[in-house]
Amino acid sequence: MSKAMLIDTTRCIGCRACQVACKSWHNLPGERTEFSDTWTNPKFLDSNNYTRIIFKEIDKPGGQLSWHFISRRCMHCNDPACASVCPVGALQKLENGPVVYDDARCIGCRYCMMACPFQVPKFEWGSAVPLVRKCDFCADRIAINLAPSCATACPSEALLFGDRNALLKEAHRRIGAHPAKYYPEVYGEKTVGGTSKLYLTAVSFDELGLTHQGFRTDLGNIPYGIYGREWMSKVPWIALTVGGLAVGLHYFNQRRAEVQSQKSQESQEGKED
Amino acid sequence: MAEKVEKWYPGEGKLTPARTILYVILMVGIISAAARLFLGLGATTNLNDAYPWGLWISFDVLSGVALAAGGFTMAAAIYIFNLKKFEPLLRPAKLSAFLGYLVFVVGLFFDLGQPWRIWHPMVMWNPHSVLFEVSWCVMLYTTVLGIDIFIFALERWKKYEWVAFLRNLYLVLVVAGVMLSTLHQSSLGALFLLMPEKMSDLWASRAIGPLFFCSAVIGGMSVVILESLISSWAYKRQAELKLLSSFSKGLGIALLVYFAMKVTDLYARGATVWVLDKAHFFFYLELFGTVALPAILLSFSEVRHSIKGLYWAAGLSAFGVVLNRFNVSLTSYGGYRQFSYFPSFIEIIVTLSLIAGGILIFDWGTRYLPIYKSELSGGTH
Amino acid sequence: MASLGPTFGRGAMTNHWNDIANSDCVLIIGCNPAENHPISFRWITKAMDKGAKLIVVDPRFTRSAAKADLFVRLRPGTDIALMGGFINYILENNLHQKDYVANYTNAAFLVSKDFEFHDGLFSGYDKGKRAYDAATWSYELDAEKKPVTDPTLSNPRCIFQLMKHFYARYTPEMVEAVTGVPKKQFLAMAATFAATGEPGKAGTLLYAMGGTQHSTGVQIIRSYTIVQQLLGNMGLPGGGINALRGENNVQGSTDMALLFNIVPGYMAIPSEAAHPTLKDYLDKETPKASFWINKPKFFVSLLKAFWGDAATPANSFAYDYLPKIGKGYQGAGYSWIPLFESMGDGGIKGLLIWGMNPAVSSPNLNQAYGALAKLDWLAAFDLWETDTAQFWKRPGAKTKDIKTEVFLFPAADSLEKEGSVSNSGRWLQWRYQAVKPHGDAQSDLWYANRLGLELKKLYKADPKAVFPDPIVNLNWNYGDTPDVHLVAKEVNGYTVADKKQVLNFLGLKDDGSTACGCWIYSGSYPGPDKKNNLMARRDKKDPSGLMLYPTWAWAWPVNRRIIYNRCSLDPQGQPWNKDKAMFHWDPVAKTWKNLDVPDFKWIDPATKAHFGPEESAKAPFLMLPEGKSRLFVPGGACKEGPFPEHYEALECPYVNPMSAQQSNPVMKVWKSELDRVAQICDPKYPVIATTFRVTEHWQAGAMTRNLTWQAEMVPEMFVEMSPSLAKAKGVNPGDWVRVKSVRGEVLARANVTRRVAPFCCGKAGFANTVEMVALPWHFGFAGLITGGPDSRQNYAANQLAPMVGDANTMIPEYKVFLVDVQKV
Ligand SMILES: Nc1nc2c(c(=O)[nH]1)N[C@H]1C(S)=C(S)[C@@H](COP(=O)(O)OP(=O)(O)OC[C@H]3O[C@@H](n4cnc5c(=O)[nH]c(N)nc54)[C@H](O)[C@@H]3O)O[C@H]1N2
Ligand SMILES: Nc1nc2c(c(=O)[nH]1)N[C@H]1C(S)=C(S)[C@@H](COP(=O)(O)OP(=O)(O)OC[C@H]3O[C@@H](n4cnc5c(=O)[nH]c(N)nc54)[C@H](O)[C@@H]3O)O[C@H]1N2
Ligand code: SF4
Ligand code: SF4
Ligand code: SF4
Ligand code: SF4
Ligand code: SF4
Ligand SMILES: [Mo]
Repeated sequence: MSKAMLIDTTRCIGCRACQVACKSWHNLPGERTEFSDTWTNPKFLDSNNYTRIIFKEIDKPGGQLSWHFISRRCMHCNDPACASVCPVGALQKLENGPVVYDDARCIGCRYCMMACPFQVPKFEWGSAVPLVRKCDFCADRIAINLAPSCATACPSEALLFGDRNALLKEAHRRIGAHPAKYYPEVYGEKTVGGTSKLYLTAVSFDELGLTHQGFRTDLGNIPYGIYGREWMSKVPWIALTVGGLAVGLHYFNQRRAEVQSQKSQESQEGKED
Repeated sequence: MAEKVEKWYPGEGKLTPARTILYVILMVGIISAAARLFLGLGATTNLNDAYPWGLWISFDVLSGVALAAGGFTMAAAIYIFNLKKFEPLLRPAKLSAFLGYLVFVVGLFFDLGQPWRIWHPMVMWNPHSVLFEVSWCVMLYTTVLGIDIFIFALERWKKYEWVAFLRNLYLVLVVAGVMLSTLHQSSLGALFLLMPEKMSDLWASRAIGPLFFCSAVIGGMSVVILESLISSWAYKRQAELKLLSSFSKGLGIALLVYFAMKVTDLYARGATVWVLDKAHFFFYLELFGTVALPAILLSFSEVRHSIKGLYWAAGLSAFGVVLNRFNVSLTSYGGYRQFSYFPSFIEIIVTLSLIAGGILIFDWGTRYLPIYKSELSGGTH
Repeated sequence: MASLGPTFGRGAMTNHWNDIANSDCVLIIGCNPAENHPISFRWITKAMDKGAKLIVVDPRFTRSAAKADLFVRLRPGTDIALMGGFINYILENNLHQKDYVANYTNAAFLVSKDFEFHDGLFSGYDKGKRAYDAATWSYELDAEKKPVTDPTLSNPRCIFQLMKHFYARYTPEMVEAVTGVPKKQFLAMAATFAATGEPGKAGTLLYAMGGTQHSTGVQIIRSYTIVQQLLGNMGLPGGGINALRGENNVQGSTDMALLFNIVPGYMAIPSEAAHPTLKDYLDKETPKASFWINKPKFFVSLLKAFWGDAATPANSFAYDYLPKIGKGYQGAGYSWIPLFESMGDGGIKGLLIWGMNPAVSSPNLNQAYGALAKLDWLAAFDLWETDTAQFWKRPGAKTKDIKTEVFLFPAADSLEKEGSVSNSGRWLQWRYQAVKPHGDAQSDLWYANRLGLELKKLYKADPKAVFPDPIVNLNWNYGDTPDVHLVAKEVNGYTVADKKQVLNFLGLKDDGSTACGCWIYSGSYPGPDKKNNLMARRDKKDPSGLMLYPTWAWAWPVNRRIIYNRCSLDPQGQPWNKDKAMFHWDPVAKTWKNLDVPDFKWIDPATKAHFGPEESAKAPFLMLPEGKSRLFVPGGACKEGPFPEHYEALECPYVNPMSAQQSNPVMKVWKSELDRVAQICDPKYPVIATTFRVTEHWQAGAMTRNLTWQAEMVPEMFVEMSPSLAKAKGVNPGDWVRVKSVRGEVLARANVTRRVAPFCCGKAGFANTVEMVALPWHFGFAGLITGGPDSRQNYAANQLAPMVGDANTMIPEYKVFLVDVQKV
């Protein structure tokens, strides 16, 4: 049964207990930060921050102010680009949901960072032998039937942990029950083939202006992993064709050359007569 | 049948100013590389979470390999298309190819967060990963080239029966080389299949694999031309002009094909071509300045038969390939709006020293290995 | 609390956290629970899931406002005007809950003929004393001294009519002129919340410091209570008036009399003047009616708990041992402000700072620092070396001139010790020790116990000791390393003879046969063993389905979850809302079935016979003599008057549009030089300032500015200002600005945001626009982060705030004062 998290941002009160809970569970250090104009702090995900709340002030149609709190973290894609590109299989999608990372395998090529459509994996730039870091869905907690640390801390149940299908049903129930309150789409239901983090928002991510902060709306529903696999599936055939052609052409051309040289010999012999 | 090769070797490598400069760069580079190893990527490069790949990937890896495509191109031409006349160009091409791949491997080594695990892909497999395939191909192909170079050495040591034995495997090596190259040259492009949304649609193409392959051929051919021109200048031998001009015809055709491919691709995807911004500037420069222009140049036989002309044509198209690799991996790449990337001094100097090292080894190789046919030599033995 | 007491009889949150989920409409006014009581939103959100509306009234657009259906931006310090207008709206449109108001409030009572109100002043004002003689604020009594009532509510002198007339002046136009709330928005808010006046509907009102931290704080809360009484929202699930208490055990500390004017269990502290003898005290302080007629039992039992066998009928239970309160500094008692005022005068030699950081939290800091420097010694019991413990080396301090000797005692934190915590909903929840105290830290109980034992020893030893008996004879036997269960049991109370725990306060006697440390907590530990510790219960059963959880922990009084719960039934005993019934009266069997502990007369303890509903309908508010909640507070229990009237804050950019009386007529104004205040509409300080909290920091900051995980989220002192103000001052987002008041200045980074906006108030024709800035007050000068990069800066907002207080509670006016803002 694949686990997931329903992130209902309309319930989020921006208290950031989740940020702290995540650091607490993963023993991540706090950072020296500066005042942040939007209140969002730390200002980016990085190897010490697996999740953060993005504070966003926007105007409602009526001109009144609205203030949104959006939890950002790894989406735990059903068919993760990061895992598909990792040359050593350091990233793995577990079938109960989490996309986890194996410190011992990673060579630090950072292809996962390039490939992730949500720009999630981050690198330990501070270290001499850096590794990749990202939200691991608290796989270790899930393994012993605990909810993820952030979801456990969340006072307003904005982070709901459960079975993906059940959560999807619940998400659509909410949209149906409060059409005025929700943007009628569950971000992550289909995006890049579906993810284990499902978002409900008041307005679309375009309207929130967060498409460049990890919530692109132009990603489509095809899992990114497919592009790579598609190519890899062709590889053996390309190899064989090229190899075959090479050998074939080699003998063909050789033969032709021999024939030609014979021809020229024969013609000479002819003159001798 | 091991033919007893008569070869010509350039004289002793004196410490000419050119060599001195190369050595200096190499030294500084080695120190910087050491710094990178001990201090880490974060401290020594300008890479960041938004730009995880930088100069080393764009040049050492992507460009280096493309320019080193000369080896398999020549091998294919000579052994598969049986264009024996080009044989004199083969050995230098192989040597430079080998060096090109060394640059790749060394460059990658320094680029990895965990350099000492560079061998992991050999034992830890992810058959879905393009990069996994690339690493295997590159590893194997470099071995093939290594064997080639080893054969040269054997000749030098006059171990002809060994040479003879290896020559019997020759076809296998060539075919393998061609096969592997086709794969990884195109796969290097396929790496970028997974990040369409992060790339400008000028380069984000589903056909990027074939495009990379074709441009790699161009890169290889132009380098072969340049390399032979330069070495003849450096070693004061007359250039194999006849050979080169007919060879450059091939380059011209390759460029035309490539141009056609690119245009069709852009048209097919309906990419927005006519805008003026940074990305588009580099795009125009690449497509017209380094593909169309050299193609046109090479259509004139005057150009093909003048050293200057060849320099220009080959130079432009070689540069074009490099530019294309930078465009794909950097110009085109979005990152976050808040971040930007320009290589640090250490990144630049390490790259330069890799090039310097390559040239020095080449220079050394030509003097100790049977690279140049003596028939063409300026006489002195 | 000083408003809920006089109005309803008890000063506490009437309902509890979970119960908010039962509400049909949540009115958040003067608090910001999303940020300061995050867990409340678990229940608010549940209510909203079921269709409840959320209204937030705040000068700032807060994280709570972000969740609201309706956000109302009012000028700080004008809640009374808004609520006055709301009361007027309810009465004009006849939206009050008729049966409720007629039966459960004092609306029907007639008021003495001499009661008057004129141009901002009630009858009996003495300008010289700045005080009222409340004689005329009284019920009209009949022959046998019973209040005269008019159940029809039509008599012009009945409270209902007086109130109607009084608030008629608060028209929507006037509301707009005072509060700056546009008429349309005001009416929308009024209509939405007034809908809970319909019988069966429940609306809850949440408030905290935004309502109380004003020179008119008590009356602001009073105005909230009137609305809730008119709409019949008291005593029902999902209703009530809920003071969101602050510090996680502040409810416990007030229950245990951590206030200057009471002894445990909300009994007045004896005063030198009024209560020389126990008899005086009991006679004067025990009302003739209401549950308080039992006060002697509680008070005597308390004395027995204090002095055990030394408290005998002969020495009137050691009453003389009990310190009596005098006039206090300048006659203002011994609350926070007067303490510091007199400290400044050198009146106080030593200070125990126990879990407090006044060097950041106290108003008018520069004055506070001066006061601390006058001390001979200061002992700080804390988890950290707080700003207070370091006041002598604060930025700009002349350290060598400061003679104060500072002692630092490392305290064990809440996870390092066992004991009970009383939450805002009156639940006493038992906590266990999770880890041993770090280093040589000790629990507060341990320190207190040592202190007690040492004092006893010293007094015993010293032959020249003056009046050692109160100390020497203290009943103080908790062991050398104190056992917290012993304390808990003493608080519950026991019979002296056999040391048996009493079941609850009904078991207490006034003859000295029982002892009890705090009568309202009686029943929390009714047996000898740990299993009798009801505070430790963790049973999630909820028979009512109303989230009362009667077997989870223990709630005072007597495990009652919702107080004044008789009001959830109509006079005939039928619930206003069948689906949310806590009590069932069976008219045939004449018996009650109860899901919560009744807060009304329902059973005869002796005969066990059940009383009918009409009996309890007479007195749904057991703690008040008249048995009804008070729309009008008689007899000066509220010093500003029986009805809340709007006055402006002491520092204010507007002349009061309501009356000639600019500010609270009985507000205490200090004589000390440092208590400078800005003039009304002072041109040098044209901007309103208010202070607030953020989720990420705790109070004076010691607890969060020392934690990297908290510090990284809100690392620097900032000031919220509107884009228009920023433009006028040429300030860009993130710039450092200097905020100045008459008393001091502070550096902060500009948080330019539409969450704050200027106000346009003033009488029609005289209306003008005034900007407002808002500052978090968590920053200071000590700890891991102080609020900025400059170690020579003090980033505490309280360098600006004035030392003026509400007349009843002396709570400082942290929420409105005048400043100017400059770019640095
Ligand atoms: N995270 C966190 N939680 C806390 C605390 C903390 O420091 N940090 N402190 C605890 C303590 S001790 C307490 S007392 C509580 C306090 O809890 P709150 O009272 O909620 O705290 P404040 O932020 O001081 O004030 C609440 C709101 O009142 C608004 N306000 C200001 N003036 C007025 C006014 O005139 N009228 C109205 N209607 N609103 C006004 C402010 O804009 C602010 O948003 O919080 C407790 N909880
Ligand atoms: N401008 C402005 N000023 C204000 C307010 C405002 O709204 N605006 N709010 C006012 C209000 S409501 C309040 S309650 C006060 C609060 O003012 P303070 O009570 O002075 O501030 P706190 O930071 O809560 O102080 C609590 C201290 O107790 C320590 N502590 C924590 N746990 C323990 C323990 O178990 N034992 C001991 N011994 N110490 C412990 C903490 O480290 C901390 O230093 O501030 C007031 N000041
Ligand atoms: S969001 Fe990115 S990192 Fe997370 S699983 Fe998907 S691809 Fe991988
Ligand atoms: S950086 Fe590590 S995890 Fe990411 S792709 Fe490379 S090896 Fe895999
Ligand atoms: S799921 Fe776990 S790792 Fe991911 S954000 Fe929540 S706490 Fe952090
Ligand atoms: S803990 Fe829940 S409510 Fe608080 S910020 Fe995180 S998601 Fe939002
Ligand atoms: S006391 Fe703790 S749990 Fe309760 S609201 Fe405050 S922070 Fe949340
Ligand atoms: Mo408080």
